[in-house]
Amino acid sequence: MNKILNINLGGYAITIDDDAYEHISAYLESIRRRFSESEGRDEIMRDIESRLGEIITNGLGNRTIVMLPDVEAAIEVMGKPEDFGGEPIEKPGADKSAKRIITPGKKLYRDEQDAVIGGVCSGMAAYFGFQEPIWMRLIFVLLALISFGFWAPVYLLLWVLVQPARTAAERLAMRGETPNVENIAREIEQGAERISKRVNEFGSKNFGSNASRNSAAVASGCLTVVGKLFLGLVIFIAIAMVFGLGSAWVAGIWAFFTAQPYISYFSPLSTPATYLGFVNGFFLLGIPIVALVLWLGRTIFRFKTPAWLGSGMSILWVLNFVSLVLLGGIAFAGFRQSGSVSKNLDLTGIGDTLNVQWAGRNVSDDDRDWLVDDEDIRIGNKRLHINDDDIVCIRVRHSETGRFEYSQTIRARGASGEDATEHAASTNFDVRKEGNTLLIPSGYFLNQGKKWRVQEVRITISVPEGKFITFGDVINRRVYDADYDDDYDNETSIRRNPGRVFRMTNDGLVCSGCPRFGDANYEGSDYFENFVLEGGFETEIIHDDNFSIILDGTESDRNGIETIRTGDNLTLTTRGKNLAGTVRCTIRTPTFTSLVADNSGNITIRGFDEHRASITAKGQSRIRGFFDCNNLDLTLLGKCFMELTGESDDLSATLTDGAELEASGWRTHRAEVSATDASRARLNVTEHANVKADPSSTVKVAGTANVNE
Amino acid sequence: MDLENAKLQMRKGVIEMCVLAVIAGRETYPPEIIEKLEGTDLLVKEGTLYPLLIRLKNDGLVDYIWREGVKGPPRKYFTITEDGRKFLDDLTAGWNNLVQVVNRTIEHHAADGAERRGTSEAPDTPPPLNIEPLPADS
Repeated sequence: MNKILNINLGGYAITIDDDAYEHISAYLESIRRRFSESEGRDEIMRDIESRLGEIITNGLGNRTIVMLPDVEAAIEVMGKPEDFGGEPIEKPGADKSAKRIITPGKKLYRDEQDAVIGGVCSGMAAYFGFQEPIWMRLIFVLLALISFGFWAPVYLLLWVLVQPARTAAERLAMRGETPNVENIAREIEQGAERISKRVNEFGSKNFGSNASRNSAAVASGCLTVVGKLFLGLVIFIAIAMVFGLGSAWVAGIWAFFTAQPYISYFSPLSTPATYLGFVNGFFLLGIPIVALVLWLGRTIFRFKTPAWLGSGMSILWVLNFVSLVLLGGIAFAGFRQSGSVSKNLDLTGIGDTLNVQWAGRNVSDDDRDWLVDDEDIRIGNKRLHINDDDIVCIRVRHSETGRFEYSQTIRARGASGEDATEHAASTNFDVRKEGNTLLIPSGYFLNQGKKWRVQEVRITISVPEGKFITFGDVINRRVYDADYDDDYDNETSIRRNPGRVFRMTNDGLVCSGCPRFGDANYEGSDYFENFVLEGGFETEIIHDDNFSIILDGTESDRNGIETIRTGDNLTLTTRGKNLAGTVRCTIRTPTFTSLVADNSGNITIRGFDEHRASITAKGQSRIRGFFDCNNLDLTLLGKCFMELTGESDDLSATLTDGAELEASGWRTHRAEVSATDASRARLNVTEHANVKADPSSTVKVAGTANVNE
Repeated sequence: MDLENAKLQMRKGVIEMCVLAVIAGRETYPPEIIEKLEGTDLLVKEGTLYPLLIRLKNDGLVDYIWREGVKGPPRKYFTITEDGRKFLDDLTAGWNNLVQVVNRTIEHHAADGAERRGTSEAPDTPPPLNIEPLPADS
């Protein structure tokens, strides 16, 4: 099967077979190269074409289609280009004895006649001078495997970008051979052979089409299978891309219509430029979709598409891309500079306490929701309201003047400093004073025609020393303590304590009634399982479902105990100081993993059933434990005392410097004890005990165990 | 020296004269020139003819007119111009002169060669060119 072309050959209308056409075109072209314009090339060519047309027409008889032999016969009459005398115009110094015709540079083509998928590999093999395309295919398969399939799009891209070698001359250029008449004739002959040898199993099996271009006879059947899988993968990726791009496209169009009311406020460009940008985006996404669909159609269903389509779409895409990049540059420039507008509010007449409250949302009922349902950005009453969490930020300072002071700064971006300042000035953010109360809006609004340019409101409230300030709920979360940035989010911060009164001191704001860690009314989500207790306060560690800690004692004694919280480690320490009275600490925790007690008061551990735990006691600590534990490690250093009741599988204990362990009420299967320097231990072991004790120490083991001493 | 090449050079020299001579007889369709020169080994392929004719035309020695063909588009028929006829006359005179001299020279050579080889074979003389101008169309 072959294509048929209708051509005008020197005034003769001729219906010609594709191969024959290639042959005659190549022939005429090679003659053409032999004459210069001044020699009357065009006239010569016209005469020759006209005569060829006549010879062919006369030779045709009753047949209608001109075939390769007809052309060959006509060329036989007319003579080969070499017979025409003269040398080819190009390359006058070329080798005269051999094929004396131009040698154009090698070009990369796809070889569709020897293709497993798209002929990319065989084309590249020809280009790089490989004898067998199988090596190039192996390289591609290898690359695909190494890159976990990411090579597939590269293949796809080459498939789309690289032209197939269709004409004999292109096929020769693909291999870097000179397109003289002999070579072209040979190429056409071989092409015919190749076509007759084509195996179409892939195409017919997979797509039910005749798939004439795919799956030429390939040496390796295995590789053919890999190639088909690869093609399948490529097609799958292409389809996935169509769907992905397609949804993005639809989403983009939907967003365009939904965003209509917002464009005048938010767009970094003028409205027409914004629309142009949307159109650019429409094409940027749409063209690849159309291209992919066409490609899929060509590959799977063998569509024909006009040749200009590809380049036309490419040009359109590039134009849109350039336009969008330019618009992007302009848009970006619109945010380059920053500017601000500041304003103060007179707070004279405020008593001892300034009450700061949220003015509520400045939003009316007929407001439209932003896209889905966002409370933060609304349009209505020819205004845009923005109520985002980060745009209003309040800092509280120590007043330098002895008076309450309020100042606000609205910052914005713009193409120039003035532009930015103008944007800031057109932002509506109005604070009101009502008696001792300051009402702060949670956001700002822009009138129609004004632009959003990342406006932010920064408020500074100065409180004189000795005076008080209180923040209502919600607004308190916008507060940062200017003097104590690190501490703005601790349990005595404004952010955690809406409605509480804070006093300005020389050290910054101090909360009077805020519940602290260790208070009964403290509500925190803390959780600890490793404890370090230093100092003479009494502690109970009790198993409970939820963690809590209560410190019971006088205010000053409680203040004498410092709490350090890191991860799940909790340290309570007096820093070596003595407490005036008694402080009782009750820790309730679901898990108990370790305890380090250093010169502590009485410690009681109660109710746990742990897999593994360790207790270290130093100095004068006295510890009593009522719990169970599979593996318990004890370290007793110094004149401490520990009494244990419960049971374990394994107990290991190290005692030194006069430590005392009373564990006869603790039943363990195995024990490993080392006692030195006048330490004493009593144990109850059922299976096996390893005891190391120096002469000054005593270890008594009750129970039924074998004891190694 | 390449014999083929030598012959080619020789043919090239006389080809123009022969073509002019054919056209001088009557207005001619190029393939007819091939027919006329058949057997002379001068013009084997038609392709050679067209560049030659265009060259002659550009030199003002021939001209052409369009005539309707039996079928297909109009054909170009070549005619000789006055300049062409004069050129052909000069060329023919020169040729006759040349042939005489050349024939004389190579007869000597053939005789010498026969003497040396001790044979009396007749020398290989090229067939004389004998192109009679066709009677002009009335």
